[in-house]
Amino acid sequence: MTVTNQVGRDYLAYPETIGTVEFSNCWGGARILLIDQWIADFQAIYPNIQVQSNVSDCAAIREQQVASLAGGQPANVMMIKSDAIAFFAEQNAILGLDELMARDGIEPEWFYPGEMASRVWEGTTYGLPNVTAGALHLLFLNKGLLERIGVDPDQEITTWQDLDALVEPAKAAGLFVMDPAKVSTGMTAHMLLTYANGGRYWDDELTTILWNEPAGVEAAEWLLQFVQAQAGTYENLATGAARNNVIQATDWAPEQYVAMVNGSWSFFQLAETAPHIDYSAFIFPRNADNPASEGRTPSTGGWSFCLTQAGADQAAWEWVKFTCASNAACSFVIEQNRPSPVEACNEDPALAEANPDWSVVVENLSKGVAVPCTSIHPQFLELWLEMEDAILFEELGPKEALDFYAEEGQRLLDEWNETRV
Amino acid sequence: MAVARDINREQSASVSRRRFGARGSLARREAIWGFALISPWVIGLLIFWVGPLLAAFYYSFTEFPILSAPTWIGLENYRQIFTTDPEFLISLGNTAYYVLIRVPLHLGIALGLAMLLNRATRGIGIFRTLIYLPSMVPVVALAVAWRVLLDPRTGYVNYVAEIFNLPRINYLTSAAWIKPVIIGISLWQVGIAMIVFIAGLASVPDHLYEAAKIDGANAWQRFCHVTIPMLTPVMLYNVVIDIIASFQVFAYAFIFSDGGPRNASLFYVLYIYKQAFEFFRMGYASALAMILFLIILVFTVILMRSSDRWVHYERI
Repeated sequence: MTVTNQVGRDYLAYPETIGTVEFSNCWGGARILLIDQWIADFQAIYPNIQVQSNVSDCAAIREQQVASLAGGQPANVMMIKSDAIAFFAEQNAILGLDELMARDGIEPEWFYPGEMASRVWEGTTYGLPNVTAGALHLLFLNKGLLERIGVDPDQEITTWQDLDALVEPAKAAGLFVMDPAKVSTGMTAHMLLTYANGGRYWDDELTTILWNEPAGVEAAEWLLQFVQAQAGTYENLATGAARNNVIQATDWAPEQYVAMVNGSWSFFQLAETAPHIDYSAFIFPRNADNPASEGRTPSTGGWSFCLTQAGADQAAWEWVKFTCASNAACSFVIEQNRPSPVEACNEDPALAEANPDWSVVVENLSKGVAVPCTSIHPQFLELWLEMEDAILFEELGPKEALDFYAEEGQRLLDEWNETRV
Repeated sequence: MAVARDINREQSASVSRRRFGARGSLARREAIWGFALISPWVIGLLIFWVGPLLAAFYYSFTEFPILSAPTWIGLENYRQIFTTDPEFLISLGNTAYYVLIRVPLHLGIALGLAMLLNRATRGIGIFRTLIYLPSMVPVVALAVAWRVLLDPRTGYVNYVAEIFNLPRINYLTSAAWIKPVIIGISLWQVGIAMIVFIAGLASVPDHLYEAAKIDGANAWQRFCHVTIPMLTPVMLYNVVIDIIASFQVFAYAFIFSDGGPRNASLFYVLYIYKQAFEFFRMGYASALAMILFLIILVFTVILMRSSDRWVHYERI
């Protein structure tokens, strides 16, 4: 039989398949109801497939999945962040999907190019995107606070310089503009600013470190001066959250910071936990002093559904297709007011009606740049965090820090490339 | 005469064999029962402690990314640790700082509280319970609660500080504050050591205090010359346990700061965790773990060996 997705595109499905799907995921909390709905809808089509959803904490899911793989009893479908796909693929833990996709008519073009690219390793697709890796870096502005500091609440903030202009009025009112280091998991503020400034962290072949080139240096210098202008030192400015943590809607709720950078999930979270805040959203600002800066944002870590080598079977593949490429995939994210990696899902007019900032989300997605990740991504992330600490805490000057850690990063990258050969 | 002596000797040996044969059989039966009764513990020890220890020792000589088989690389992990890994020394230094400050503070406070609570006053049980209670709270829950309390803008700690005109401090993103804060919060769980000291104090015989009083010793002299010497066996136990536990500090740094800022809270076990479960370098993490094992072993041996000189076992 064929299944039609939200935009009338079809793929082949096999409803007579018999089997059990063990689905390792971290869609807990309010999403459990959505998963239950998925399972009910799936079993209406596939009466002979049983689905068992094993929910873990997102922060610990990779560790648990590795343990289950090492123990020889993995789930047959695993929810994996795209920055970990290289690691699992290199260890032969997950299955390439290209042949199955071609056989059943799942086309990569259905998804945003940046989204698909982050699920490909060494030319092979290892996962279908369930939620976006992009749209993680929207600029949210508290309109009430803007008014309080004497700035037109409807003013558009589109450049780093626009943010600079908010510093003095905010300080006069005893507020901060924002903590620029709390941007998202899987990357650092400097990485985000470098890509927004038209730079890159490394080349597409993953052979040369580029973060200490002029775009990266400008990004680091702006980051530091933005912190110093607001609070003198980063210690005085930082939110209490641990490093590498995205700021939570609850952190923004006490209205101490005029702005925050956060993902598209914040629409839902703000409605739930800070409904008193009247806000507007913008795409991530660019550097007005650099013509090459377009405010493009890097994406490294969107959740994908992958088949494990040990447990892959037809039932598992039917579940992946259903949850990533059917109507159910669209409705799962739309229910959460967040965009879908399936481009056409986001064109539903109902979305724009429900969320006045929807066009910003879609524009941000179209500006997303998939950053190729190594199989030792966590080691690089640790290095980037150290580099950012060195800049923010003024241990080293911006250029000095970038050069120092570029040398270290190049050594790590060279060692890793040697193992690839 | 010589023959008679031989016969006597043989008879005596035969009697002895009969007598001790019966005793030997009883001893054997007792030994079998003994071994049977402790066997669950011994089996658990072998499977869950000795086995992993030996495995970790072997893995420390391998490159082991968990999902593929370990590859023997000899001493390479150890070479890297000692020659090219700056975070090894940073994490060791942070941990040494924690142990050196925390162990004396923790035991001093525990002893002080034990002295205060070792008296037959009405309602003393309530105080003991209240001070012991935080030890019952899981460390993760305690850490999350403290993270909220220490928030620079909305936490109660800074709120109270401001009432006394003290500056607001972002304790968790300050490289200068993060270790003292973690030490301070760990002292919240002083109850276990305190209970051990109270048990030790309860076993100090009253007649020693009475004798000291008769000899004219004041309260401080009685504390120094009776209480402390009599508590040394309990102190040895508390010091050994506390040093082992302090070297393994992990949860607060993991939850508060993930080792930051600027690696100021990168404690040794957190570093092992990162190598093992974030970078999946299980061989390297095993080598780090073996080094920690040796460090703790050395401290423990030094303490046990030196105990002859400072631990006083009173025979009553």
